[in-house]
Amino acid sequence: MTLGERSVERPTVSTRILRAFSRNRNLLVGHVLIAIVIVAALAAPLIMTHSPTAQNPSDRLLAPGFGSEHVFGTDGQGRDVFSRTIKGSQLSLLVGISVSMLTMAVGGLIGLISGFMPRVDSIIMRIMDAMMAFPSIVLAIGIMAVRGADITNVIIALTVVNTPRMARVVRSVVLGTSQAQFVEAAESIGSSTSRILFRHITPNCLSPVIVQTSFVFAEAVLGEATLSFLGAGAPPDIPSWGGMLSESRVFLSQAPWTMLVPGAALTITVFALNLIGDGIRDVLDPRLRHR
Amino acid sequence: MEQPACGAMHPRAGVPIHYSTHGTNRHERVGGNRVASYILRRLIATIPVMLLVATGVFLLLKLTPGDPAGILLGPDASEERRLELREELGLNDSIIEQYVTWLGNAAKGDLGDSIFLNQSVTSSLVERAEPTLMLTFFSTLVALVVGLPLGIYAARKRGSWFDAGAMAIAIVGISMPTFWLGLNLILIFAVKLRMLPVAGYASLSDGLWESLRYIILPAVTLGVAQAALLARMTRSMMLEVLSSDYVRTARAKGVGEYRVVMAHAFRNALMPILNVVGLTIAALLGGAVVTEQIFNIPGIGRLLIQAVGRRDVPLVQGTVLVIATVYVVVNLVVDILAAALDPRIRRG
Amino acid sequence: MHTSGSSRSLILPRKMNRRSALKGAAALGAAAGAGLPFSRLTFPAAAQEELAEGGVLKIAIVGEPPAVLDSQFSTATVTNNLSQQVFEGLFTFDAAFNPQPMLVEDYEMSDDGLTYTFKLRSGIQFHDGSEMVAEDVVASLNRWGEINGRGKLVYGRMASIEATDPQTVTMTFNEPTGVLLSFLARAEAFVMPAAIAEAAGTDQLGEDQFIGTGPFRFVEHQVDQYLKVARFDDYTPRDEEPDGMSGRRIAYVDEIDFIPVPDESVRANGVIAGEYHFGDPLPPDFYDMIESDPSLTPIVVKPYYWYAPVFNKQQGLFTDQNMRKAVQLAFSQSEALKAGFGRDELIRADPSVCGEETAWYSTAGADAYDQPDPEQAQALLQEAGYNGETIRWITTHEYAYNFKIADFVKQQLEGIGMTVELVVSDWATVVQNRSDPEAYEIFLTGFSQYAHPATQPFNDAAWPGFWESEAKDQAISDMMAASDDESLKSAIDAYTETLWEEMPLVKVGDNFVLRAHRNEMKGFDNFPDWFFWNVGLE
Repeated sequence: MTLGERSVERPTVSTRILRAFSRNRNLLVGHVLIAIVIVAALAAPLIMTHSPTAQNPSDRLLAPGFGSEHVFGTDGQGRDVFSRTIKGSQLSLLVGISVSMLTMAVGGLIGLISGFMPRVDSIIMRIMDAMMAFPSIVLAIGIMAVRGADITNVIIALTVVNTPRMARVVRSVVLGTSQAQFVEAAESIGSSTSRILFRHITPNCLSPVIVQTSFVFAEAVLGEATLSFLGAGAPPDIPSWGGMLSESRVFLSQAPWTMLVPGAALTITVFALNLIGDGIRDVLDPRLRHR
Repeated sequence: MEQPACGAMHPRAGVPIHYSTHGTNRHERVGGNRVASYILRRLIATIPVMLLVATGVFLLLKLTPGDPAGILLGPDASEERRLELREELGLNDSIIEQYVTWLGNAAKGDLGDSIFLNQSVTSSLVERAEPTLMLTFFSTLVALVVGLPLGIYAARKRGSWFDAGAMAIAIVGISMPTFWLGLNLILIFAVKLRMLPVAGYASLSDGLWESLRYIILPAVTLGVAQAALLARMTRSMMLEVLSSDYVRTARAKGVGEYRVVMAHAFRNALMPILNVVGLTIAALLGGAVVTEQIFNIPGIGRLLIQAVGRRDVPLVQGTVLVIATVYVVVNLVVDILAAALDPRIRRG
Repeated sequence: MHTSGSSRSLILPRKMNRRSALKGAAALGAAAGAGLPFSRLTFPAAAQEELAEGGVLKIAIVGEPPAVLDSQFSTATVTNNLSQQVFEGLFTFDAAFNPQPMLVEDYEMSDDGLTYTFKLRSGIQFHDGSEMVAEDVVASLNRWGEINGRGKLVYGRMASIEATDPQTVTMTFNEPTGVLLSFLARAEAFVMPAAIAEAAGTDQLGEDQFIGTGPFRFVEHQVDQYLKVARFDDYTPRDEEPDGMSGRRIAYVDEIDFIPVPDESVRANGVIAGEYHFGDPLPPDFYDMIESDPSLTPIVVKPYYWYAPVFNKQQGLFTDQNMRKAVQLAFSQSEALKAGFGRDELIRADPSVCGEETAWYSTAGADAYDQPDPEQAQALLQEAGYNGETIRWITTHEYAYNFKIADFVKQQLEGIGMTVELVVSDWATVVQNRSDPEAYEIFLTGFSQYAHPATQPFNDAAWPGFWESEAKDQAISDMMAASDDESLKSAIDAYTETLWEEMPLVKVGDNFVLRAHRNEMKGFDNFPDWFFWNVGLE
């Protein structure tokens, strides 16, 4: 990005977004899919055919069938798989959004501080390196063990795990940008640090951060599912895709739908998020693509 | 510049390709003495990181409530005995004391004894090494064998149906949770078709074939995501290199396509690919927890999780330290290799 | 030696049985023209299918056993069960949980009940080839007395233990200890060579120290992978018919691999897929599948464990007995049991501390069991002056039933105006916190249905829950002392009455564990503490 580019006329935001969507299939498909998931989560009370938590031992392990009362069948405790899957989307999206927002904020802040202040940079980066050297699942489980099993703690644990990477991204942008000539030029004409920050560095950060955030979202959804699967996530009475998968293992051969449905939902959601991430990256930062 | 190049922010390994512990320009000229001092500097730089990891683990564990003595002695043990054992294990010493003692020993290479397993931490890790390495090796093999050719071919056939299809499959591969994939593979190959065992691990000493039978499903489970990642990465790298000036010149000079692709393009693409592979290996060594769980493989990931559950502090500390060390060392090796292989650097 | 007629006998008035048996034996012997000592007489084999020799059994166990085979050190069930394949003690349990001689040839109790003289069997070999003598027994029991909770209980009453000659051990007590044989029959009171017992001391036994007298010997242990034992060729089985764990033990299979499978679905699927011959415990949800599978045999193990919320009686709200009784009356125990465990086949609502399959069954004073009475409960709360203070119940998701029962009871308690907070953490934290009287009001755990009531951990005032009671101590003392069936039964009744009167915990009910074995495995006796002698592979 050169000084020159900035003064060229810019198409309106809406035009750019539309253009991006039409050119980039990934973005389109990804957004459509995730929109479905979001709608499902928001409209859950309307869509769910049964209670997601009510147990009906007499109706356990019914096979799915399009005409039947339970479209996707029931699980080992007679709960409707379809309704539970819909309900589970709420937890996944809640955790995903919270973690990505928090990571962006915290990681971004750390990265900025680190990038601007070389004195603390070494220390901060050492700590970030140490955190990344730690196997992430173990770190998350450890934090859950200390804090106890509830959704807030899952969010905290996953934020901690994802923050170092975000911090690195932001930091590297700051370092890269601050060495750019135009910043030197700006400094030489007396722009204050904060002006530089806002006018030059922040826009530069925007695209890598947005790209990284969308991947963090995907990681968070997977991370929450993994923690629930291992029994170290949110309490089991809250329907979660990971928890459903964990419970389904006992019935693997008798009732494979209990495993297939939540797993497919999880895969589709993460797939959509990855598509979006790819798409955004392609659009915002063409240098990052193949030529 | 520290700008991450070539879209390296992939979801799995997650660090920018040009990993570095400094803000310095990694592409400074290296050669001869410079290489040696570079390595030395990097090695020294890892020490504070290791120290931080060690302290971090220690603090985390001490913050976590739970008594290993109670777990070891079982449900019917008397209070008296539990308190006795705590004393014997040194659990009542002050935290600082425990930390300093442990750190001192660790520096000498003595990681202490596992509370639960009645063996030294080191031997626990050594016993787990084979399964972990087997799993890491075979899943990486799967990734390389599937991912590399896929990526190269997709790059060559850029824009074709093959390309689009392969990349779509790759994204699915990254998006699918490993444990779901694992469960599906178990359902199909072990439960329904009865071709492979449901779970378990057979050491190489039981025979290569037996060992392979048990490792196939877990290796594929882990390998698929890596393969997907690698395919995308490889394609990306190859495309970039294939349109570079050097390659265009070579083509103009009439150099055969195969030579162009393999001899030059691939070699240049190798560096970041190596980086990714290295990072994934490092991550796998401690992180294949879920796969080890569903396939009942006695590897380091599972050891760690169980140790946390049992509050087996020395074991957790020692294991995390070792994993972090491996991670850092692998990173270092990869960086050095990359620096050595990078023709831009070599040419000065 | 013991006829099935005496199966409900608690103490075995041994002298009586022996004499009458000897008379019979003498008659037989006379008829056969030989005056053989009783113990060498062989009875005709009962109709039992012929078991094939050979093969390797693969057994899926719940996880890596704490302290491996050292059941003196760790009381974990899996350790206990593993140890009895390799180690034996002076006595062992028959199918009705009566103690029967194992390494003991014969014994005598003095008339005042204070002195026991045990005559050991001769020619018993350890796995290292040495022969077992009295010194070994003394040294082993000394270690048991030092590091094991139940051992300490016994040694607390003991005046002396001596090897009076190489085949005889004499124990003298300060007070009558009729319960001794039951304690000695537990797997943890095993015999190892004296040198090893002394060398090990208070540390866990090392791998080279797993030397016992059992029908299997230790071969190899790969942590988290397998524990291998093999037939001990120089084992001398007893002559009597197998009855529970007592009697003849023959190792038909060549080897057994015990494989830790911490994940219950893998364990279950492994048995179904033929990877393991036997799996324990299995998730209850597998019951239907196992039952309908022709290659598998499901086993429901009765008796097994019972479950109860335990009150913190040292400090806080539940120092008041009225509060405790209020809780018991506030919910239906059988419904809580169902909420926790689900399947009817695997539960039993019963107030007794010991299962009805044992000789220690008693429901004395347990009329309030499963008779919810919310009004009475509220009245008791009023009397106790309860003012809505928060009751902290520490629980965990790691054991699903733990949380489910806590959740169910919480709802019922809230229905009568109590404030209950479920504090959820992992099991390790619960284990630690329940020892801290400041940390909780209630926690829930399980207890064995087939252990002698005197040995229940909650009897110890220092154990979580902190039950201090003279009536209880007296009843237990009487139990320990009882030297005949009558006095034992009345002591157990007194104990049970005290339990229901003082309400230190509220028994919810019994839960049985589900196991399964493949049909190729033959001869398996469904005893709660599993064993694999007298088991063959087709």
